[in-house]
Amino acid sequence: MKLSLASSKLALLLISIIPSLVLSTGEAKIDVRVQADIHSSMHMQWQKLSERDERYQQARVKLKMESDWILLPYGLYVELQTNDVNKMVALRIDDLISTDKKRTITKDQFYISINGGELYSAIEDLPLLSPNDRGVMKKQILLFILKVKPSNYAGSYAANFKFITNTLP
Amino acid sequence: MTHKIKRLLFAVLVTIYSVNSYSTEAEQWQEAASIAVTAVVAPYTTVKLSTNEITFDVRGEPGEYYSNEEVEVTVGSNQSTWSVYVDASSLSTNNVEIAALPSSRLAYAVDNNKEYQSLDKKMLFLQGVAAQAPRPVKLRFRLTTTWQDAPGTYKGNITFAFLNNP
Repeated sequence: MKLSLASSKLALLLISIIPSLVLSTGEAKIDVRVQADIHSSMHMQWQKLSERDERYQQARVKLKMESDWILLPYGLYVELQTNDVNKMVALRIDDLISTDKKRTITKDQFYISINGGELYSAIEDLPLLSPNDRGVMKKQILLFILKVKPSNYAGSYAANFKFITNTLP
Repeated sequence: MTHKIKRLLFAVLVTIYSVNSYSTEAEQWQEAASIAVTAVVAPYTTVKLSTNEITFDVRGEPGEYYSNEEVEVTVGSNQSTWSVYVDASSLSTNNVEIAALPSSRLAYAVDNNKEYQSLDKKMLFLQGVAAQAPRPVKLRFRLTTTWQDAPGTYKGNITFAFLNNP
């Protein structure tokens, strides 16, 4: 009984002390909620390079060519960057059509080299930015190679190069 | 009969005299008792914020983005001196795989000051004294984003702490 009385006195003492400690510190806090909505973003910049451009030449010296290949006298400088892991960018190339629109060189004869490295067929879209590249600034020099056949007529041809983006589900 | 009249007159005279003597004493006030009065002025502090939420809408390339809202802080206090500190938590999403934005990416500027202070640590931004009239202070906030920040909704807190300096 004595113990319980002492305990209750101690409890009362603590209850009376604790608020004064809080008051003596004199600190009050208020929170303001912060919400930041970051949206998917992409940086895409390209520039046509002439064969005199230093970047074109740097890639060209790395390229291993064969005698029946034609290296087109222009290239593309591409800068790509995204914050979105679901964002992809690829290059799509159509068939080459003669300027008089009478002849076609199909895209299976067309190849692309990135920075003078290995060749990729233009049959399929060429990935330039993949999920692993998130946050990284990718600077690439694209060279275009035509593997001509005897059946191909001489002349001037044109093709559409398209950058396509795809957001993964 | 005459005797009764005399007694009546005497009683009236005595009554008038007593009234006069009472009014004479009332003009000379004397202290009968005193009561001690203690007035306790409790310390008070009011901190008023104009909003309880700020938002950033980050569209386009990463960089410096400013909050859609300003926070107006008004402090009133009768205490000798006081200080207000501002602090921030990191901003995180519900997705644990997405890295949080550290509080150092948040910064604030007071009133028309163009210089922003990083919230990487607790910052003192306002001080006052008891005699000072409450004056609202406007805070503007800035968030710096990078290409490494994945898309999403990030949430956190900015905490205002009021401290008395006795």
